[in-house]
Amino acid sequence: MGDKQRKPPEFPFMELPYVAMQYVLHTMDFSDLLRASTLSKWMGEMVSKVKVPEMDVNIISGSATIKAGDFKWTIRKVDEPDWFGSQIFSKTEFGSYPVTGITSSKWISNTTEDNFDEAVSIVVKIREVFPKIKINKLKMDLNHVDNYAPILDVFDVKQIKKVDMFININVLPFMVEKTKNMKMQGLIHYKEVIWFMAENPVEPHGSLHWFTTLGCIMSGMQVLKLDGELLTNADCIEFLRLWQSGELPCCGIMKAEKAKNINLMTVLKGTNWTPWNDAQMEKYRGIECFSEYFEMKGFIVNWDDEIISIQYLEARQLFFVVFWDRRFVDRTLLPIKDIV
Amino acid sequence: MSVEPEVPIVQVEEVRENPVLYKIISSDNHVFTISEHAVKLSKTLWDLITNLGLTAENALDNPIPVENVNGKNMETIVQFCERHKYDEEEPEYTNYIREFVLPEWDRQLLSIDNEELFQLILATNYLDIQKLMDYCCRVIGDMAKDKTPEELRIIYGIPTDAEDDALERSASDSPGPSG
Repeated sequence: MGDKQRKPPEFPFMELPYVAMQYVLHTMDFSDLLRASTLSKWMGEMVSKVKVPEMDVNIISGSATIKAGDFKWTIRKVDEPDWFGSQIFSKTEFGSYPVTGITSSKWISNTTEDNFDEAVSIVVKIREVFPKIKINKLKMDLNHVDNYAPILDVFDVKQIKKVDMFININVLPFMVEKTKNMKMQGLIHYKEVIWFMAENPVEPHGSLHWFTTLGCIMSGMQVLKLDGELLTNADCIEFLRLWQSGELPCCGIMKAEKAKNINLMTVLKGTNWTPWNDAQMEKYRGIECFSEYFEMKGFIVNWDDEIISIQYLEARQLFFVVFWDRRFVDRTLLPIKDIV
Repeated sequence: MSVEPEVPIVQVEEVRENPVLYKIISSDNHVFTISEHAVKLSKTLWDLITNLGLTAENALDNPIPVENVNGKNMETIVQFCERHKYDEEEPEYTNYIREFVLPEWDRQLLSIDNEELFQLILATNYLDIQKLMDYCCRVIGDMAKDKTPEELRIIYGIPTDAEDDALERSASDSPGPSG
């Protein structure tokens, strides 16, 4: 002990049997555990053994939110400081973690910049406290993927259950061109994760691997989730025009849920389309694995040497486009061969 | 044509068996009686009873001495076990956070000072009563709610890294049992 004699504790936690110490920690809330983990290395180790609730991470335009158990952290972009907010804490309060620890279960920080580095750093710090924590839902604006996905790669992609990447249809033309070296061969919807089968031409004979959505995003393939409620025939026609004019070089999948009042005949007018044809699609191995998002019907549209399939499942309000013959480079993720 | 024999109608009533009672003697020689259902909540006591071969006939004549638990704690434990003897069996412990609401009756029972609570946990740990252990630990865990790290350090007496290191150094410097 140091020179200064510490007052006896209110409760002699350190004298409890080890099992009882662990039981005490298991009854604590997430945010209390985060704070407890900052007390000492020993306490940090004790806390790291507790299995905590999964985390939701939401980084979209203008705001970022992290939720796990009772812990909630939000940062939002504002033009004016929100002087009247009841729970405004400075960013440094959390930024100084873990030196001073976490002092509240809820933070709302304001930022005038479209910068969510702090949100990602908090996710990483939380993971340092709970190395086995899983991300239940990861929502990220495609604008942020380049910056933040590599940081979030500290997570095993298998730990991330559901990934949604959002983009507004208005910004589609601004998407940055990326390389086209991965050939997609199939997809499967398995335990809330969309898995893609892709051929990796980097290997001499182009072996097949399974990737998650995040894997594909990070390898350069874009997965577009559009707001189906706002989707019109005109938007779909514009989407096809963008594809045909080469402005969607990296798109692998486009999906719009809650899509209503789409008339495929109107959308396909003027394109080189045919009904789904198994023989024509035979060369895309893995199609037998297609998921609940995909039924082997719908329409095939050819343009130059590219081919896409389009489905509108009216009963399920689902509009779904798969881009075949696309090639993407696997830059960062290890292939996942066994999906079970 | 055969006639089905008339089946007598039996009025089903709640039938309570005569409870089997066991006697327990605490470390300070207080004697407690506890029912079979209640004593089964303590894995340690139930193992002892089965190993001793105690039955309904000889249980009361063979009190069980429990050297590690005093009368005060034993009284709380017997009350708790009698209260929860018909509860559903607790699921096995996992290392997941356990979310449950501490019932008001139990919160009242455990509204004791921290030293008593500490002693009760030691007794509960020895007697291996899972539910009571959970409830006691919840009371201790609740002490951490919305506290700052420094408040937590004071409440639980968690040493800093420097204090831990100093303690470790002094332990390694001190002579062993033979020295």
